[in-house]
Amino acid sequence: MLRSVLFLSGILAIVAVGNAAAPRADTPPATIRNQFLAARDLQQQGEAEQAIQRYQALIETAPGLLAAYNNLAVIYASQGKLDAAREVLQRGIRARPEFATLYDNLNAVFLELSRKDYGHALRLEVKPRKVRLSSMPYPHAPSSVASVTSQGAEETIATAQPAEVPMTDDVMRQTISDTIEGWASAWSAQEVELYLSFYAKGFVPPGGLSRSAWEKQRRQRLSRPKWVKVRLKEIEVEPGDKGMARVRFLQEYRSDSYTDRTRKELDLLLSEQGWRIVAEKSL
Amino acid sequence: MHSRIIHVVFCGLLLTAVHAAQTDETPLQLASLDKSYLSTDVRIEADEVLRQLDQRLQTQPTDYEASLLKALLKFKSGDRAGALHILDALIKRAPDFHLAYLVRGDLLLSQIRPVSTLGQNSLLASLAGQQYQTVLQNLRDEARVRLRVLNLRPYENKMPGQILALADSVKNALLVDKTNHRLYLYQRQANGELQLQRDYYVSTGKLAGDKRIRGDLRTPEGVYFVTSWIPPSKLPDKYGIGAFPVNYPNELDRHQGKTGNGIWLHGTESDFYSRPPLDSEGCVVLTNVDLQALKQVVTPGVTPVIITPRATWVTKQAWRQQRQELLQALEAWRRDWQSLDVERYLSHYADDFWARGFNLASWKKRKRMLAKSKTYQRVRLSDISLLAYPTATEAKQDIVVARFRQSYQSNNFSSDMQKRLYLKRQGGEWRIVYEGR
Repeated sequence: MLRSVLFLSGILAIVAVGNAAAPRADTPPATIRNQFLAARDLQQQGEAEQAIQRYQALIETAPGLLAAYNNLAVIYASQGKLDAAREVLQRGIRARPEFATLYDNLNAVFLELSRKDYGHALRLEVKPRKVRLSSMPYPHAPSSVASVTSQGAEETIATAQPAEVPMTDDVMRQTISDTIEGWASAWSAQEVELYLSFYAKGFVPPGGLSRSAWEKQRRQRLSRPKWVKVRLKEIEVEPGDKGMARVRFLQEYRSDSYTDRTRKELDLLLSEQGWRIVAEKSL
Repeated sequence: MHSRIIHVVFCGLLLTAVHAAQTDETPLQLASLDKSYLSTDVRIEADEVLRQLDQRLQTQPTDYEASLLKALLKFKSGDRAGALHILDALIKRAPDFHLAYLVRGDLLLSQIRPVSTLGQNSLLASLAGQQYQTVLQNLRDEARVRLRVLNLRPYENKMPGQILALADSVKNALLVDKTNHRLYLYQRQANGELQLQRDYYVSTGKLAGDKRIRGDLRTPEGVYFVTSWIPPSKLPDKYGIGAFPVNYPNELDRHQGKTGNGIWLHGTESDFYSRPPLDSEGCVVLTNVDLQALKQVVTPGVTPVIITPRATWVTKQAWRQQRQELLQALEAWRRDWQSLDVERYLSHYADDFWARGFNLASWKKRKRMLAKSKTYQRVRLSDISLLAYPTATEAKQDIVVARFRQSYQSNNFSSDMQKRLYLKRQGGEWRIVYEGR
């Protein structure tokens, strides 16, 4: 039963038309909705190339609008460009870290279940493996959600205002510690993309590194060890003004080749995607 | 109502990214990646096949093969959630169905990476060493054989060429097709025609071909009868829930010098739902669930089992014609016997005729002698079964076994007995090659 549910959610994660778009602050949801409808019209009229352009532009403007990725993939697939379809679907999944986590976790579960079934099929002694899944931080409710359903002719648009969670200090503390736990578990799982998604666009890498050089370094350091375990202790959250916060903790890092304990300080900024790291330093 | 057409090439390919763009107008093409997996390439109506499978499940909820095939069909058409739902339920009910695990393993893995051939991927290879290749191949063979059922329906609107008549006292007959690993259960209808009740997957001898000698690991081909029922309490576990021995070697087998014995229809050992297609030492092996179902309709001493390399089906018209021809041949023999014209009666016997203790010459001698004492004879045949040998036997002759009740009355003798004749087509005429009880 659990598996069926997971399975369905996997399917939904992959093909469901995204129902939550997190447009950039400068584009009003109504504009995005109209752009989407225009793209969809073109798609339905068989104007594939034009529709492709519109969807691509839409992905730029509203990276969280999963329907755009999805419909773009539908067009690619109908043109037989399966590699392009796969790429855009995967990009859609990665566009929303929580989807990516869900998707990766689901895949890890599928893999282990598959091993188990193969074991049964051949009457093999298959040692069960511990499936380590990544935890997720408390989701930050986006300020506006454009709910787009695209079922054939019945195009309906519902712009819903989700119940805003009042950002009290308690909620803030909770969401911040959830975020950095998520950051630590992405690190432990050596999920580089997920790990990097915790850093804000405006993150300033330490030591005067450029953003790309720093990313390259992080990619290497995360993926090189055979295994990594990062545990955070003594987490202290210090709420600030204007969606800023500072958090300090003791970071225990262990891998197959290296172990250390560091006191760290992260500066976080509340963005559309949730809390994101803008500065990181060792104390 | 619209139905999608699937190009069914049941091969290893269990998954292609069949896209959401399955509009009703677009035929769903599922091409094969591995032609060797199943070479038959027939276009079938997917909806129609699903309907047939649902019907199978409705009439027989323990038809686990139908569940497996449904799951495979859904898997192939891209409905992985549907396929998984079916497999989960199936494995719960048939926890020893190893093939179902293999398919579900592929299905789960296909969520992560492309799976093109049944049970062939790097994950599986990393789990199963060289020594498991045979096991894996056996499972693939089983899948291939079971999948064939979906586009092999030669029996539709046809009559089994091997079962030409069943006596009033015989309700059912079993027909085994060794090539396709199927056992067909036929039931006699009120009008004498035959109705297919169900068909089952069976495992047969490790080696293909007709049985000749003891221990050759082959399943014999011919017309046999179930002789008894052996309960599981008297058998080792490997026979499952029991066994129906058949009368191999029969009169013809012994005459041809064939040896060996202990050819049974039996069940499957515990911890296994089914066995690979070519796996027995000559027996016909069913799953325990299927054997249990057969047990309800098989009568020892009565139920015929015709084992063929490949069963043949003929049109109703051809079937009626053949049946009529044989009934007439029997009637001619009866009439000529009754007529007291001993030479005409003896003309029905073939040159290579034999009976217990007789060849044609000694038989003729005895019959001519007996005829001298007869002033009156009356012969009645009733309860006639006509069962044909597979046409493609090595002898390349049509052989039919006639089994009936014979009531004989004469001025100095009378009898009432079960008779068995083997008839052979010789020079366009049916001749008797064997006569016995």
